[in-house]
Amino acid sequence: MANLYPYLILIGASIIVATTWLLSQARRRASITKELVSLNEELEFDLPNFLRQCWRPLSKAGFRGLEWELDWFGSSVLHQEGSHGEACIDRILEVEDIRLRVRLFDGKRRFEQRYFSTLVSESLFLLLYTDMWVKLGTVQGTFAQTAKMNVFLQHDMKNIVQLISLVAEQLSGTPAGKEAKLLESLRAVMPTLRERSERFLNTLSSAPPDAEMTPIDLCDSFHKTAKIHDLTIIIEGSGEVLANEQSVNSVFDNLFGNYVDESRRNSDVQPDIKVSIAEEDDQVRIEITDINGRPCLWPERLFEPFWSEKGDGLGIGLYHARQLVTGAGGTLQALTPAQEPMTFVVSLPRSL
Amino acid sequence: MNQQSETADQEQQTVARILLVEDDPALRLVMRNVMENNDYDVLEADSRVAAEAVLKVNPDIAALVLDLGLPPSPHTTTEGLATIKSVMDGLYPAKIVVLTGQDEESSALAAVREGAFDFLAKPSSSADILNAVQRAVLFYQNERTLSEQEGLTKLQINAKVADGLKAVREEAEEKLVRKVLKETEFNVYQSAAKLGLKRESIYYFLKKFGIKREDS
Repeated sequence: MANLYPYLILIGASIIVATTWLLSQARRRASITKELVSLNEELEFDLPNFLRQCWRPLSKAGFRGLEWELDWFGSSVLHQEGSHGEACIDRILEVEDIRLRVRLFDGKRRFEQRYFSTLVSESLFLLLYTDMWVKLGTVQGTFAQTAKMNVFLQHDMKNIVQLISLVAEQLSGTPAGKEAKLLESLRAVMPTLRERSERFLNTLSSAPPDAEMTPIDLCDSFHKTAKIHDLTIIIEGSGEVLANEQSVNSVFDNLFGNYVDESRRNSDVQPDIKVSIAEEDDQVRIEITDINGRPCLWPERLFEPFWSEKGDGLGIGLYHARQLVTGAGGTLQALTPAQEPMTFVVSLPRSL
Repeated sequence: MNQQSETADQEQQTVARILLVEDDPALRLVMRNVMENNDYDVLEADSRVAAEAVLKVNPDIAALVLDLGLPPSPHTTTEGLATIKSVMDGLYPAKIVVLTGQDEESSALAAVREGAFDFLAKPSSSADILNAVQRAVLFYQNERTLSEQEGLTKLQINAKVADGLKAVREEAEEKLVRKVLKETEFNVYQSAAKLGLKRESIYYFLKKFGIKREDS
């Protein structure tokens, strides 16, 4: 039995050495995979750039060569790195207009080396595949949003042009004795025409509106916005904020518009808007609730750009409102209790 | 005699009632002015539901000027087309002039399929709008005259040849029975007399087409 001890010790030591070596190799591959992930993120998931720069980490993983052939929306590129042989891991990835063939040359690796190569190569393929979907999603999303935006802007623009054209015709051909009536209708129409044209321009423009800050009486602003949307509101409290008037009007226009859209979907119940204003230190806190409103079913999506519940809206109203409030140094949140109507909570800098 | 007839026609035209279905209040107001300056009696609605309510109270509306993009989805034609369908299903005699900013070709086709009388794309001149409304009113008045004087009733049926004659006949039967019931305020006896049928046949049609008093 004693004669066996040296052998047992040798076997044990061999196991320890082998395990230690395997662990270090695994750690090394994990570090290379992490390096690939970081590189991809650094390059903003751009597939062509990532392909051109991924060879460096891959060469550390023991690969001898890399070859990729990319068909990128109709343009083909072939690229090679390192040395090539017969043994390779070959993969073809295809997503719509993007096709990629990748060949990783690993020199007939066996046993644990083969396992490690597979780990790294599969991670690489997953990253490449993700990049392809990211690109495709971005392209399709942009096209869809542009098309949607075009439909909305075209519709609004046609209404504005129709309005101007009818007004112009009336101005030139109003029957005698009906001028007073025309004047009266112009008084009602022109302010809304201006509001709508400004809103139209705001939608088109990504630049922040005129940043001139003025004290704004919130009650006045609410009454004005409610009138545009033909809403009756109850206001509790009062307050004055220091902000850009156009931005503030746009914020409440979007918030009230959200209630109007909701009421139009559910025409049985008319919105009953309650606004409470409270001054707190250097901020004014505004809470807006539709008492007859439904609980919000999609709290996580409320401020997501280009998302609307029924797919019938442009979906940038609340997102735009939040951007404007944040830009004005305030906050916009939505309280969405499961069984009660949603409440928008806006905080804006107080006019001191 | 001719002069008297012309005067009567003119009087009829002055009281022609138009329903503007437009969700844009400013545009609605300006169009109202255009119509009123041309001696039309104008009613307004900003949605399909509101238009249905106005029509229910004023079944003598001669023409609707309808925007296809209505709330809750003002950027699609869904609600506008639903309004046309609702007017057709309600067997109202009003003619529908579509005035819309939606994609012209597809919208026009869909509107005509549903039963629109005319189609104008925004922006249109007030002359074009008035001409279309005038034609619509003329058709409405002529149909009413034919109905009153000769008992003629116009039915609109969207028939597919592939569906065969039976489907067309059934649709015509249903529309005619509904229309007569509506005219007689759901009086089965009078409806049967008007249609030259027995009362049992009217009850049979009521059951067959699922017609209820509130439908009429």
